[in-house]
Formats: sequence, structure tokens, C-alpha cells
Amino acid sequence: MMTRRLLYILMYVVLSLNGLKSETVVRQLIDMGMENVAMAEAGGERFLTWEDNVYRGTSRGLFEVLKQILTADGPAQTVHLVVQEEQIPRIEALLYKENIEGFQNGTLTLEEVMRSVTISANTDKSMAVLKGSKRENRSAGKVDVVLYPQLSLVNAWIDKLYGTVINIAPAIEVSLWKGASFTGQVIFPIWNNMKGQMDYIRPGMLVLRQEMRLPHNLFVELCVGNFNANRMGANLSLSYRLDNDRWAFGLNGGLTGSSTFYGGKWELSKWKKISGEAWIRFSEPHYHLDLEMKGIRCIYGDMGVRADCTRHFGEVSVGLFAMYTGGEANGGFHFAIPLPRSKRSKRRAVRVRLPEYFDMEYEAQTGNSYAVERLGRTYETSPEVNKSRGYYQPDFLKGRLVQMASESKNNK
Amino acid sequence: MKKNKMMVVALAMFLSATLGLGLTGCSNDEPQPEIVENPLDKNLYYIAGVVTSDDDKVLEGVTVVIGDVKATTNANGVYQLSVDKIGAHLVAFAKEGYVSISKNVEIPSNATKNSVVAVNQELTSANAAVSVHPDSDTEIIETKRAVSSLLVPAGAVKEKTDISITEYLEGANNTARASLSTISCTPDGLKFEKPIELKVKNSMSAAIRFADVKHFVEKNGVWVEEGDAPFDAQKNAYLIELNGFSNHSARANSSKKDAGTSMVELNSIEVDNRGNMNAVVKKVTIKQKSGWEIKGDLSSQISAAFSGLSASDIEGLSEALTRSAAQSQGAAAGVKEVEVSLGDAKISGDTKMTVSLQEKQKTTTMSYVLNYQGRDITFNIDVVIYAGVDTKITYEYGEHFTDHSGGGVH
Repeated sequence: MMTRRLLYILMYVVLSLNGLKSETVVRQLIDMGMENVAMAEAGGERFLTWEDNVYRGTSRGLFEVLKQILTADGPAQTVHLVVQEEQIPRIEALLYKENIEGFQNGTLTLEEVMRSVTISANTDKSMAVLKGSKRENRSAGKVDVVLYPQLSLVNAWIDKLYGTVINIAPAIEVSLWKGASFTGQVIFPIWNNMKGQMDYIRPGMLVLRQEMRLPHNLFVELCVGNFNANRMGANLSLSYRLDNDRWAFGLNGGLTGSSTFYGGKWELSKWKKISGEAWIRFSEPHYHLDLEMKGIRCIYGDMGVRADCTRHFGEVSVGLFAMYTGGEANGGFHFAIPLPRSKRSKRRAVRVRLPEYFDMEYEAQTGNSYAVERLGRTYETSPEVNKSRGYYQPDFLKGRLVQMASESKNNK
Repeated sequence: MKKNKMMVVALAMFLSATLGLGLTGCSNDEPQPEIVENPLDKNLYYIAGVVTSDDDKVLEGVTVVIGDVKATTNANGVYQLSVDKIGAHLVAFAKEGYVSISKNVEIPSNATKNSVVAVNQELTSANAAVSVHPDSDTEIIETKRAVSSLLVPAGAVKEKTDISITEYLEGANNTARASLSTISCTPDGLKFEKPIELKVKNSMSAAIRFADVKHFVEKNGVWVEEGDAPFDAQKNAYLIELNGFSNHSARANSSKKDAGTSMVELNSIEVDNRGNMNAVVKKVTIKQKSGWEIKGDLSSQISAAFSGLSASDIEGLSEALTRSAAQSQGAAAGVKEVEVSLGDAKISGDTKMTVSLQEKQKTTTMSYVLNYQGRDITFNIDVVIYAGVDTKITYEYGEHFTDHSGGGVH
């Protein structure tokens, strides 16, 4: 009787301590600025999910959370970590109990622990466990005012070296319900040597976005509103990626009309232009090289193919592309570089920040028949679309974790 | 919760508005620059100027003709004609009661499209006729300048004939010699039974005169040397013997030499339609100077060249040289501003048109041989002629048109 009572007391204390530890982990993540934090336990393993709107990039926040878990008090457990974006799970990182214990007792270095982490694009099982868990520090309703710099340089006229347009285009980005967000952007001209729409303060992207993640790594996204490249309309995209995300496939289709600001008047046309693409991507794990091929139908009906080769160097991505559409060849390069700061303030009601990356694409063809026939024209549905933003490829993430662990060791 | 519901409602409204706009839209077509042909790109050249009367007033209602193209001077005496070829064009000025003028006007071979050649012209009202009788001598004095006169001896005409003599300004012509006096004698083609005398007074004293003056007659629009106009020291005049009537001219021993052309930039005309998709139409009008003037103070130049010349001779020679220069230009000295319309320019969408203007100022050196104190002396005057305006049309384009494909970064 006495023994049983003592056993119950002991169990109560242990469970309480675990509960306390669970609450502590969630609290720690919230204190770091993570949003939509939830935790659950099943089969002696811990399941943790969060959305990182504080650290720049896809790897830095994950690294910080892993470090928190490695240095947390209490008995070690295998942890399933699911990273969200716009409340949609993106990847799962698995940290084994033995490796936590190894780090805590000094037999494993941080770098070795990071090497042992397995990352997958498949989050179905973990999210099933986390279903129904209470989300703390919700992102819904939080507003980011993002200051997007815009630069365009075109060499297509003989009376000027470059047709130059410099704008600042702040955008209000609001997280809504799961998978939904709203972007409302205004473009303010700073300087240009051209004449036309670029002289006016005008609407930029005004987009309502709804994304869904279906089982087996299927993603669906619907965007409606005012896009870039003088388009307004609706765009639907479907994508699928393997668990290791070495292969990914996608379809994208849009129905748009023109949205222009000539003469200072906002003029719209009926949505009559159908465009789209079918793409396939292979990620080479050793050099973090993405090879992408797509068949495209551009806005004005020209059809063709485009091939991209992008290499990721940490947070910088550099790539080359070649395109053949409407009987004309084109090609160039693109890059994305990170903008300060690597860690932003936590989100309260409204936060002002720079975009995560500054990206540009150079194309060799801009004039003559390419301009007259409006070949190769496509649009984007978000102000920040580049090869670095939202890049959750597992091999790349793991490489980054190991690199950051190595850098933190060298900095001691 | 309430905040979320409000957000949902607001976004639902946004979605409806966007979809509504998209499905109904404001226009069927996507904006493209409207392309139009600009009439100013045609090969057209203009001849324009002011027509004045001999009493220095502008003349309205003068008919100016080049081939099939006709214009009439407006209330300011301004006319303009367009031609589509470079080279020489015969321009005819006519108004009832005035001596008609025809002269060659050259559109230079290097003239740019829409360039304007300035041509002023003075028309002289015909003098009243004087009756001449076969049985008496009659002297008819040209009343406007009182420089030329006709002496019709008895028997020169068979019957009573009404004769008029009018001095006028002829303008550019085929001869190198500058005219001292050009007269229209009517009835044109009248033949005399015996020669009559045309006397052209020397504006100065006998101490100085134009040397080697010749008599020229206009035949079919061309001035032809007919003979000498010898100087009669007693009468202080050049005497010409006429056997019949036409247009007659006493021309000095002189020559003309081109002393250069300067181009003066004028304000350009811009029509900036960049950023707009619709074509625009704009009337293009330019202002140009028309006329001529003698460079420097002529009296001082004469005084310096001919020392000891009396004040009245200086004045007389100055007046004679100015009149002779006016003969070569077709109008009295003076510069007027003339408005010339190049017509309606049509500028395509997203295009800027610039009309650059350069005023041509030609300097011509006119050399006269004068006999002073028994010696022949060459005296030069520089005449500055406001010869018109050259135009150059250039285009700049907005983002929809490109000159080449040099790549770009976005």
C-alpha cells in the first residue's frame, strides 16, 4: 500500500516534471519569437511544430531550436520537429534521443549531432499527432510592413545607356488563417529616366493567397489579385515533392488581364490571357545544385521551354538560365543575396522590416522583336519570389545545420 | 474573434471586387501603343515670307504660286507654300494693281524635311499711265523714287498712247550684276518709231558714280544684257536707248560672293507622349526671322573707303547701295518675324517627338566697282540674310519601343 502510494507520488512528480518541461520548451520557442507553436507527445517521443518569422532563411531558426532542445533540462526524448510557413508544414527534422544524450554527456559534438539529424519533406505522421494541439503565439492577424527595393536596368535604347527605374515598394503582409495571407503593396517611384507608369505612385501586388497541403507532399496554392508585370487575375499552382525532395514536379496555370497605370489612370482589361507552366526539378545533394526544366506558355501566348541551373551557397543562390520561346532564344543569370538582419524582432501587432533577400535576374534579350511581340513574359504572385526564399530542400538544410554548427564551434 | 470576422469580411469583399473586375473588366483589349504615321515625316519643304508694298505696309491678298500650289497672303502679309522637291522653284507674286514678280527660289540640296526657306517680297503699285502724243516730246518721271525717267520724243509713237513706268524690286535672278534701278514699262512689247531715252539718275554727285553700268532686258523671265548704259556727266545720269518696252534694268559692275552661313539654335518643340498609349495630334508652328540687313554702319564704311567724299554723296551712295541690295533680295532692308505652320504632327503612343530648329543666317559680300576721282575702286558690303530655318525631327520612345536588344536586369 505504502509502496503503491509512493509509486503514484513518484509518477505524478515525473509526469509533472515532463509537463513542466514541455511547457518550458514551448515557452522557450515563444520567447525566441516563434509563432504557431504546438507540442504533443506520443509513443514516448515528442512532436514539436512552429513557424519561424524571426530568423532569416529556412535553416537558422531550425538550428536555434535544435540547440535549445540539446541544452534543455530533463530526460532526453526523440523529437520530431515540424517547421511551418504560413501555418503550412514544410519539413520535418528528426533528432534522436541517443544523439541528444551523446551531446549532453560530451561524447558527440554539435556538428556530429547535426549530421545525425534526418530531414524529410514528409510531415504527414507528425502532423497527425499534432492535430488538435493548441497553437501558442498565433501568427494570424500579425502584420509585417516589408520595404521592398525595386531596381530595373534595361539596355534597349540608344538615347540612354540604361533605362533605369528605382522604386521603393512597401507591402503590408498579413497572416490570416491556415495557409492564407494577404499582401497589399504600393509602389513609390524614387528615380527613373523613363516616362510612363513608372512615374506614378501606383498599386503593386494586391494578392489574396490560399495554400493547402494535402497528404503525400502535395501542395496547392490559389492566388487572386493584382500581380506584377502589369497583370491581374487568378493563379493556381500544384506541386509534389518526394520525401527527400530531390525530385519535385509542378503545374501552374493562370487567367489574367492587364492592370496598367498609363497616364496616371489605373486601367484594367478583362481576364483573357491564359498562361502556365509544367516543371520538374532535380536537386543534386553534394553541390546543392538545382536543375529545373519547364515547359511554359507565357502571358501573350508564346510557348517554349526554360532550363535553370541554380547553386545554393548558404543563403546566397546564383543561377543561369536558358529559354526558348516564341521562336526566340533568351538566357541569363539570376541571384539572390540576403538582406540585413539575420534575426529580426519578434512580431507584435505590426513590424517593419526589409525583405529577407534581394534578388535580380539578368536576361540577354529585352528589345527588338522580343519587346514588340512581348515574348517570354511571365508574372509572379508574391513580391519575394527567388531561389533562396522558402528553400526547404532537406539536403541543403542539413548541410546548413552542419555548417552553422562548425561556425559556432570556431567562434568559441 | 470579432477582429478575425471583420478581417474575413473585408477580404471577402476584396475577393469579390477583384473577381468582379476581372470578369467584367473595363476594356476588352490590353493596352498597346497606338501607331500612327506622322505627316511631318514626309519630304516637304516650305517657302514662306512677308509681302510688303512699296510704302512699307504689309500686303494682304497677294496670290503666291509655285506650279499648281497657290497661297494668299494673310492680314499680316504672310504666305507659306509647301513643295516636295529640292532644287529651284519659280515663285510668282501677283496682285491687281501691282507689278507682278516671278523669281527663282532654291531649296538647297542639303535641306532637311520641313525646313523653311524665307523669301520676302515687295510689290510695287503700278504708277498711273501718262498719255504720249506723236506730235510732242513727253518726259515721264517714275514718281515713287524719281530716279528713272523716260524721254519720249515726238514721232516715237504713231498715235496717242498711254505709257506707265514703275520702278520695282525684282529679287533673286540669274545675273551676277546688281541692279541700280529696275523698271516695268507698259504697255509691254510696245515698239517705237524712233528710240526713246531711259535716264537713270546717279544718286550722288558727278564726283562718284558706279562704273561700267549695263542695260539689261527681261526676256522670258531671264535678264539679258542688251548694251551699255553710258554715264552722262552733264546730266549726272546713266542713259539707255530703248526701241521697245519690256522690263528694263540698269546694272552696276558688281559681283556676289557667299561669305558663309551660320546656324543659330532656336528653342525646340517637344511633344512628349511617352507613357500614354493613345496617339496625339498637335499643331506645330515655328517662328522664324525673315529679311536682311547690311552689316555694320554703311555710311561709316563709305566714309572710310572714300576719303573726302561729301556728306550728301555719302548719303546718296548709301541709299543707292541699300537700294541695290534690296533689288537683289526683292524687299527693302529689315527683319520680320514670321509664323510658319508645319501642320498637324501625329505622335504615336509612348513616343516623344522633338523638332529641333536652326536658323540660317547667310552672309553675302556684294562688291561694287565705283569710279571716284577718275579711279575705279571696288567697295564691298556684307549683307546678312535670314534665310530660313532647318528642322530636324527626332523620336524618343518609352518602354514599349526599343532601339536594340541589349539585355536587362529586373
